[in-house]
Amino acid sequence: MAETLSLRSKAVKVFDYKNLDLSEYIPEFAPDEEALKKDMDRMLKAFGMKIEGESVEAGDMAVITCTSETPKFNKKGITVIVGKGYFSKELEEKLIGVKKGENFSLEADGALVNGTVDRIVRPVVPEMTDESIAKLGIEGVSSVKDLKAFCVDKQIEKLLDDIEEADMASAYLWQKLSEESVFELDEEELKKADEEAAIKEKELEAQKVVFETEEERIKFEKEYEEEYGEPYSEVDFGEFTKNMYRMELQLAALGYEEALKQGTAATYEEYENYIDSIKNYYPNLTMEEMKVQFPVEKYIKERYNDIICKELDDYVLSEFKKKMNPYR
Amino acid sequence: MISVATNETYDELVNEGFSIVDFYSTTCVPCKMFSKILEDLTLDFPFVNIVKVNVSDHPALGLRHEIEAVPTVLFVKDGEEKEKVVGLMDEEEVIEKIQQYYYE
Repeated sequence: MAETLSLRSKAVKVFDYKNLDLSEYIPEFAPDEEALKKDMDRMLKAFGMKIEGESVEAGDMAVITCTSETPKFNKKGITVIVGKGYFSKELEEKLIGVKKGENFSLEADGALVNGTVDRIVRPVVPEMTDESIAKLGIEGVSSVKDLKAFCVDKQIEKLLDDIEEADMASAYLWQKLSEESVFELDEEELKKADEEAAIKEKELEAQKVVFETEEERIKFEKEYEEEYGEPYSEVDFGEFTKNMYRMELQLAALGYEEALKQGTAATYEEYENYIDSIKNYYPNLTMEEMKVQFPVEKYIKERYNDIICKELDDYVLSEFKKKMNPYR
Repeated sequence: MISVATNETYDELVNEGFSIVDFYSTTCVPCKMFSKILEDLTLDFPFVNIVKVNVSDHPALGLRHEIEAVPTVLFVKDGEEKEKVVGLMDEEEVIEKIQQYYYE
């Protein structure tokens, strides 16, 4: 078995974030009932059956072969959805009642059309009952109410994809988990985190807004306040990056414990595969140079931190759905 | 029916009948929207072949059909390209094309 990539930092006491109140992040939401009905009908239709019909009825798919002096009606084995009017409303109406295998001769759109009904396929959509819904085989869905909740959950997921409230709630939990838990951070790992923070600080400092004149500064501050509704203040990047990278190490320690429990701890082979997967973006670097650029320590930290981020994201999504979905 | 085409299977998939070929990439948001439209349409038009081509996985097919943006949709009848539409289409627009080319 491949050796796992471990962290020496660990959590001594883990804060229970599930008691935190997320209500301030939960957005206003009302289900789109029209879309809901359409989604539910579509799902039933998707699981519906198709049977062979004996004579044409509205809604059937009739496979016909026809001849006419009008080119449009010279077709072999064309499928007509009877009553929709996609082919010819008049012809479709006149086909109703014609039996499978029977010849027909009719007038449609001013043309004489002769033909045969080769086959009749009739879609059978199940009725919207608890019993038919249970047969759809969707996990956790065994009634009409469950299906409504399931479809509205999809609407909620789509809404949350477009707005930032769920991300803000996850970030809040991430921060509280870091602040309220108790950690024993390994000195070497902490030193590495601080070094990474120092590099990031330099990057941020280099991007800092520099004003050539006092007028420029005043103008920028005015525009900033107008846009963001609060006065501009310079960020202490040193403090900011140090905290951020230390928090990342703390959460990675939690993630590592979780990974051990789940049996999903990272391996060196996985790290090398990761390097291999991104090498195309850095064509001028060798594998060894890539490993210097993306050191394994950084990979371990991000990989385990991601486990906790995902856990928090999943928790937030499930809490939001519980509060936002009227069918739950 | 929805099929996923590769360089090897593309011609065979569009050779017979009426096909809607959806050139997409996994990171493109409008492509995802269009994919859902096609899934819905396949319920009403099971006799139309829906053929999906991931241009990131099969750049040669993208080059061959001069795909410059995704989604790009080809309407193909018995192997012959009838029309190419670049950009997201809505359900009604696709149905109009089915009427135009399948029932032409």
